[in-house]
Amino acid sequence: MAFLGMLKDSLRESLDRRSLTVLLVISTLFIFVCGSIGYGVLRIEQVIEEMKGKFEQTAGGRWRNERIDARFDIADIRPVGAEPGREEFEGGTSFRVGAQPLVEFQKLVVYSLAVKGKRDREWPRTVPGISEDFKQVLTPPSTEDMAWFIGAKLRENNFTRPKVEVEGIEGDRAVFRVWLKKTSTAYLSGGFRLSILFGAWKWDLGNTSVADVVFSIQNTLAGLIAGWIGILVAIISTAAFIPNMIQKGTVDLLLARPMPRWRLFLYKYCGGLIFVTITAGYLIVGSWFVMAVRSGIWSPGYLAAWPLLVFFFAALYSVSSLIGLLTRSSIAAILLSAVTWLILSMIGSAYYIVHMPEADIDQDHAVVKAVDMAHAVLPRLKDVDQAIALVQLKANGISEDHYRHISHGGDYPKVDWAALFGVTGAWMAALLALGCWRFSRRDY
Amino acid sequence: MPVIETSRLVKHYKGVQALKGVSLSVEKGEIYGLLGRNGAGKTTLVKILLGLVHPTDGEAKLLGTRVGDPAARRDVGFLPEDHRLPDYHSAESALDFYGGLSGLDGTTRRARIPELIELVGLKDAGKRKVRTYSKGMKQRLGLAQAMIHDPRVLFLDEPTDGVDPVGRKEVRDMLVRCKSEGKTIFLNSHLLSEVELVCDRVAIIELGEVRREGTVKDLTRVENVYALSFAAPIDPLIPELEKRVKSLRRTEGGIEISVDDVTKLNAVLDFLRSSGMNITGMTEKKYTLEQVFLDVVDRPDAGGKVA
Repeated sequence: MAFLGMLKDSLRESLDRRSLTVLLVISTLFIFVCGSIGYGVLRIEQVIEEMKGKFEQTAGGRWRNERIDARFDIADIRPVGAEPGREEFEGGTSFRVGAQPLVEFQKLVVYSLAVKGKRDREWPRTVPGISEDFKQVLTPPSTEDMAWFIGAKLRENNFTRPKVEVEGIEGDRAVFRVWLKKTSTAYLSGGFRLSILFGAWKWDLGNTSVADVVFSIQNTLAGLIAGWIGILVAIISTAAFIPNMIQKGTVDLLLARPMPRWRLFLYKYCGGLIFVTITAGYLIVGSWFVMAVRSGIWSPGYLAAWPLLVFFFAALYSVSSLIGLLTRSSIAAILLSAVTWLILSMIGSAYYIVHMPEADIDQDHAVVKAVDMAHAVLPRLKDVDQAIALVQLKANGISEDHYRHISHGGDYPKVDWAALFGVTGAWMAALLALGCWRFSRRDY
Repeated sequence: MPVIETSRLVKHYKGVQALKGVSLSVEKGEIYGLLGRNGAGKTTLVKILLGLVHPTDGEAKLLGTRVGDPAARRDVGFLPEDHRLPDYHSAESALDFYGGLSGLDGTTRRARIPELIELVGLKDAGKRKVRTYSKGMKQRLGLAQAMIHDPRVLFLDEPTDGVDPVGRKEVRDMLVRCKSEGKTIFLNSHLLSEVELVCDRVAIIELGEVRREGTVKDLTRVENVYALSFAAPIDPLIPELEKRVKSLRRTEGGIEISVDDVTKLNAVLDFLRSSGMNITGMTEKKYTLEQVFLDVVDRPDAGGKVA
C-alpha cells in the first residue's frame, strides 16, 4: 500500500513538472510517424526472381568479384504441396537455380569459401585453388561446396534454412533444386516501395526486406531515441526526486511515518523508475503495435527493449539517487550520472575496439588488460545497446549471415547475459544498499 | 505506563551538545508543552522522539517502544515546524499519500479525508494544489496530515504558526477535543499565552537541559505573596505591618505582602481587622508563564522541578 502510494506520488511529481507529459506527447509523435510508414507487399515469386542478380555476388559480402563472371538463372518456381518426403516444406516454395559457365561458378564458390568469415577489406586478391590470373580453377569445389554457396547466398538474403539439392551438371551448367519453408515475404530481401506519412513520400528500396527496415526503425527508436535521448531526459527529470524528498520540512513528514527509512528510499527510487517504465513502455509498445499492423511483422523481440531500457535506466538512476542523497543536489546527481554513463560507455566501446580482429592489438598489452579488467568489474551499460539490437534481430528472423550482409560486414551483436545482469545488477544493489545505509544513519 | 518517556537523553552535533541528559515523562491524555529559546534543544528532542535524529546517549520510548523502531511511530502524528508539503499535491491527494504511508487502507482513507478537510476548514480548497495555499492553509493541512491516521500521540511544533486569531482558537479547541478523546499531545510553541491556555504540564528547556517542569498553575504560582486592597488609606498601619511580614510593597490601592505561611497571613489579616481596616480584596500573587520563562532563560541557575 505504502509502495503504491510512493509510486503514485512520484507519478504525480512527474506529471506536475510536465516532463512526463512532454515525453508522452513526443512519443505519440514518433508512434504516429511509425504508423504512417507503409511497406509494399511482395510476392514470393518476385523475391525469388530478385535472387537471380544476387547469386553473382561473392558469398560473405555484398560485392561481386569483378574478375569472376558467373551467371545464374531461376526457373520452375512452384508452390510445394503435400509431397512424400517433403512434409517440412509443405506450403513453401521450390525452384531451380542454374549456374554457368561452370568454371566461373566454380571460381565463385572457391573464392567465397576463401573469404568466408572475413571482412570485405581483408579479401585477398588471389586465393589458393584459383590461378593468379583468375582464368583457371586449380582445385574444383565439391558438389557439396557448390550447394553450400547457393544456400549461403539464400541465407544472406534471409531465407531461413533453405534446402539445396544438386540436380546435376548439365554440360557447362550446374543445376540445383531449392526448397523453401513457408515464409512471409516481409522477412526476405527484395525490392519494395517504402512510404512515409501515409504516402506523402515514397522510396523504392532494393536488396532489403521489410523486416530489415522494421529492424532499423525499431533499433533507432529503442537504441538511439529512447536509449540515449529518452534516458538522458529521464535522468534530468527524475534527478530531483531524492533531493526533494530529503529537503528540510518534507523529509520530517515522511520519516515520522511507521516505516523503516530504507524502504522509503527504495520506494522513492522505484518511483523514479516508473517514469521510464511509462514513457519507454508507451513508445515501445505503441510503435511496435502500429508497425506490426502496417508491416505484418508481429515478432515480439522489439518489446524486450522495454524492460532492457528500464534496466539501463535503473542502473543509472541508482547512481543518481545515491548522489542526490549524499549531496542533496539534483544538479550534482545529473552531472555525475552523465559522467558515469559516459565513462562506462567509453570502457564498453574500448573493450569492443581492442578485441576487434582488424584492430591487430597485442592482447597482452597493459592497456588491453586494463580495459578487460574495467569491463569485467564495471556495469555493462554499453552491452544494453547490443542486447536491444540482438533481441530484435533474433525475433525479426534476421540471421547472422544476413545481418553481416546488410550491415556491410558488421559484427552480429554478442551479449553475455549473465555478466550484463549479474555485474550491472550487483553494482545497482551495492549503490542502493549504500544509499539505504546512509539514509538510515543520517540525522534529519 | 508513560506515553512518552526519555531518560538522560544526550545529543552531540559536531562539537555542540544539543541535549545534556534530558529526562521527562508524559502521561496518557496530557497536553504537554515544551518551551525554550531557539537552539535550546526543543526540536532536537522532538526529532529524537520521532526517530529523525539518533540520540548520542540515553533512552527514549514512545508508547512503550524504543524510538528508532518504526513501530514506535505507528500511533504518532507529527506536525513539524516549517513543514513543506509537496506543492504538487492537493489537500486530498496529500492526505491520501500520508494516510497510505501511515498504514491506512483505501476505504478508511476515503472516509477520513473529507472529515479531516472539513475539520481543518479546507473544504473549499480540498482539490486545489498546495502551491496555491496561504501559510495558514498549509498549516491547517499540516495538522490534518498529522491526524490522518487518528493517532494516540500528537507532536505539534508551532501548530498555530501563520494561523489567524480565529484559526488559533479553532486549533486550541481541536487540541482540547483531542485531549478529551484521550489523546496525548506534545506541543512546541513560542506562543506562551497559548501554551498557558491549553497545556496541562510544561517543561522549559534551556541549553539542552530541562530547567523547570510542572503544571502551568504550579509554575506560575508565587508562594505566599498576596495583594490586598482596602476601603481606606493603609498608610498609618504600614510601620506596624512591616514588623509582621517578610516584605511589603505599596501598590495602587493597596499593598503586596510576602509572608512565611498561611498562619502568618491570618495573623496579618486579624491585625488589620482589629485595627478597623476594611479589606476589600485579596488575591494570591501569580506570574505569567512568560515571566517564568524569561526568569528561567535569563538566569542560568534558575531551575527545578515543580511537582
